[in-house]
Parts: sequence; C-alpha cells; structure tokens
Amino acid sequence: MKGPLDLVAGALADPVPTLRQAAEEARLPLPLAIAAAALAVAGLAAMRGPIGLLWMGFGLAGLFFLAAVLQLTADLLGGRGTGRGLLAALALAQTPALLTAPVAALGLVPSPSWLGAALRAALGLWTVVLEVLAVREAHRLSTGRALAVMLLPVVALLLLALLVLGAVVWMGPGVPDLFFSSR
Amino acid sequence: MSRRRLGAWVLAILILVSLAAVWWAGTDGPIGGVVALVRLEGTLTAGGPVRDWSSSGPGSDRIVSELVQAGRDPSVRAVVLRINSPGGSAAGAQEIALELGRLREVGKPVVASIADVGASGAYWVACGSDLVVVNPGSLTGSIGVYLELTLLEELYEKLGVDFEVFKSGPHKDMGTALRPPTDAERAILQAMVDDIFEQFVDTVAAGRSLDRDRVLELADGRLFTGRQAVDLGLADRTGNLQTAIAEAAALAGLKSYTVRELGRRHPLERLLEELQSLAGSLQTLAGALRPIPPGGLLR
Repeated sequence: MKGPLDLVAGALADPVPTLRQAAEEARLPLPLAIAAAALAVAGLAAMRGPIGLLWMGFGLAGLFFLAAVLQLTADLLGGRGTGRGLLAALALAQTPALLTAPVAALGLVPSPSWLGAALRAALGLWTVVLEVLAVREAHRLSTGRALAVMLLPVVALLLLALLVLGAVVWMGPGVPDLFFSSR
Repeated sequence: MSRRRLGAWVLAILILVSLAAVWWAGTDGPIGGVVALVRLEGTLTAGGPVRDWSSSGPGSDRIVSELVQAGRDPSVRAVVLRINSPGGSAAGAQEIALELGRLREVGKPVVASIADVGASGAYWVACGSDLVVVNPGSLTGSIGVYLELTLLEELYEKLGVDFEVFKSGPHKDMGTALRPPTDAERAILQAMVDDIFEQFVDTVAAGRSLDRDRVLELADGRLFTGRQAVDLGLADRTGNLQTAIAEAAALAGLKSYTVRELGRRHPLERLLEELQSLAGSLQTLAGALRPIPPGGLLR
C-alpha cells in the first residue's frame, strides 16, 4: 500500500493509475485524510482562523454527498464500481486543493491581479477533471459516460428547478393561498 | 528516494511555507506599499455587530480589530477609513478614534473618506484622521449629543399591564420606559449629555485644529454638506474614495501602491454572520415580550 506522499504525488502527476488503484483497494482512511488536509489547506488559505477549518467540515460532508449522488448515477449508466471505491477515488481527486496555499502566497509578491483568479480557476478545473477520471476508473466506464455521470445530476437539478418554476407560474395568483388562507 | 517522492516532499514543504506566509502576512496583497481600506458603514455601536429591525452596523470591535491588523501588518503603510454612517454611540466612536490615533502614532497616516453621510458619531471618528475627504454633496457634521427615552407608561396602562419595581437606590431605574424621569433624573441625564457634548467638541477642536469657541458655534447639531464642511474647516477637501486613497498614499510617501480592503469576508463567514444576525433578531423579538429595560441610547 502506498504512503500519503506517494498518493498525493500520484494523484497530481499520474492520476489515472493512482485513482484506479484507490478505487480498487477501496480503503478509505488515507484518501479521506488527504482530502481533509487538502480542504483544510484551501480553507486556511482563504480564511484565517478556525473558520477556515469549517471549510474542511463542509467540504468533507459535500464529498460524501457527491459520492452518493454519483454512485447512483453511475449505477444507472452501467457502472460496476462500489460506493467505497468511488469515494476513495473522489477523495484523492481533491488533491489539487493543496495547491491553493502556494497560489494564495503568490498574492504576497507583486503580480497581476488576474493571475490569482486564473490559477484558482485552473485548480478548480483540474479537480473536476480528476473527479471525472475518478468516476471513470472507479466504475470502469468510458470517459464520455463518466462525463455524463457528472453532468446528469446537474441537468436533473436544473430540470427540477424549471419544473418548480413552471408550477409556480402556472398556479399564478393561487400560490399565496397555499400559505395564507383567509378566514 | 524516487523522483516522485522527492517532488512530493518539495510540494509538502512548499505548501507549509506558503500557508505560514499567508498566515503571517494575513493578506493577499503584494508586500510593501499597501493602502488598507477599512469600512465603517451603518449605525455605530461599541462592541459587536448590531443588525435588527431598526438599525444595522458593524460594531466597533470589528473595525478596531481591522485597524489593529493594519497597524501590525508591515506592508500596510497608510489607511483609508471609508465612512457611510449616520453616527451612533459616543463610546463606539471613541473606541475607533483611539485606534486611529495609535495608527498615526506608529507613522501610518489615516485618511477619512465620507461617502453619503458621515455625521455625528461618524464625524467624531473622522476627526481622528489626518485628513477628511468628502463629496461636495455628502452630509456631515451634526456635532452634538442627544439622549432619547421612550415612555410607554400610558401604553401599558391601556393594555392593563402594571409593573412594580424594587430598587437599591433612587436612580437605579433611571431612564425606564415605565415612568417619566423625575426632575433630579432630568438633571443627571442632561449633565451626561453635556459632558459627552464637551468631549465631542474637544475632539473636533483637537482633530481639526480649530478654536474651541469656533467649534461651539458650529456645534448646534446641524448637518453640513461636504462643500460647506470644507469651507468651515470641518473637512479638508472634496473628492471621492480614489482621492482619499491617493491622499493616503501621498501622506505615506508611496509612489506605487496597491489597495487592500481589510475585513473582506468569505461567503461562508457572511453566511455565519447572517445566521448570527437571525439569532440576534430572534433574541430581540423574545426581549420585546419582556418589560423594556431602563436606559436610552446616547447618540
């Protein structure tokens, strides 16, 4: 089994075999610890004080939620991986968040104001790409299907929002009666 | 050691050093030549933030802590205090003005920039700066103090609610909403208002280098426009926030500088503040169900 440094280096430099191995082994403690560290670094680089650590808590909760949703979606699209394996791979996909510290430190030396924002956006994109790879490797899907697994919940959420909006518009003036009945 | 493992070690050290640097500097701006921007917006109070149905303001604690941060940060060379406040408590103004004085003592010039309004307690704060910049149409001045008591005796009578008060001394419930003040209490409260007014006048006279008698002439509580304030010596020049920043940089002798807003909060922090404020509103609501405590608000 690889140590934390090997896993971090692997997730950043050689993600495909690293994520595949993490999904196959489906051992959660180390990948989750790495995700927690990455999210804590991101939080502390953005916000000083203990509130930065709250970011880690929210991030980890979000990671479990993301894994649950993607597991269901992947299953519907023919995925064959386990939830534990997907969670382990998704946890390692958070590794680029470790680099938010050097990006924040870059702001301490004279540099163009757009550079920090561009680098942060690049880190975000990198994480999404790793998450797609994590889904692909954990469920042995094609890249297209893995991308669909990522996009389907977003599309479903948008459709649901549109449906709710449509219902509200359709019901029109009757809506307030649901909340305020006149007697 | 493999190259990848070595790279991972280098990365780990880089992350730790970066994190330490960001924490040490407490900033995300370039080193050297920073003009810090601190905002004073809303009703001024001493202590924590206030946000209820009638008023909202950051509280002096947050502003003082941002000024302390500006004082400690070696890259901050000057401070601009952006004011948009109708005033508030005298104690809140004094807490902030004291910290402005400390900044000036350590050689960091402070420039006050008044947006829409910087009156009463907010003007008190502005007097603690090296320079006051106003828009010609800003509202400022209102040098004076007032104490407001709410009397609810008749309302309670109509509601059929009666209170019985036990007190250790004759003036312990001074300012209560349950009865009008006695003559002795009126004299005590007026003396308090007068004392705070004297402190206000002294602050304006010292801060603006004006003759005390001249300040007394202007201190009838009236508001002035920014242009009037400049003419009367209550402000230094007209201009906007950028003017104030340029003035602050010039006072600090900075040829090139960047502006860093202190206290800019992360969305998560803002969310927590909103939740805190909601809890505060609920507490206020719960408090309204109890008899109104004694005391008014010194403005």
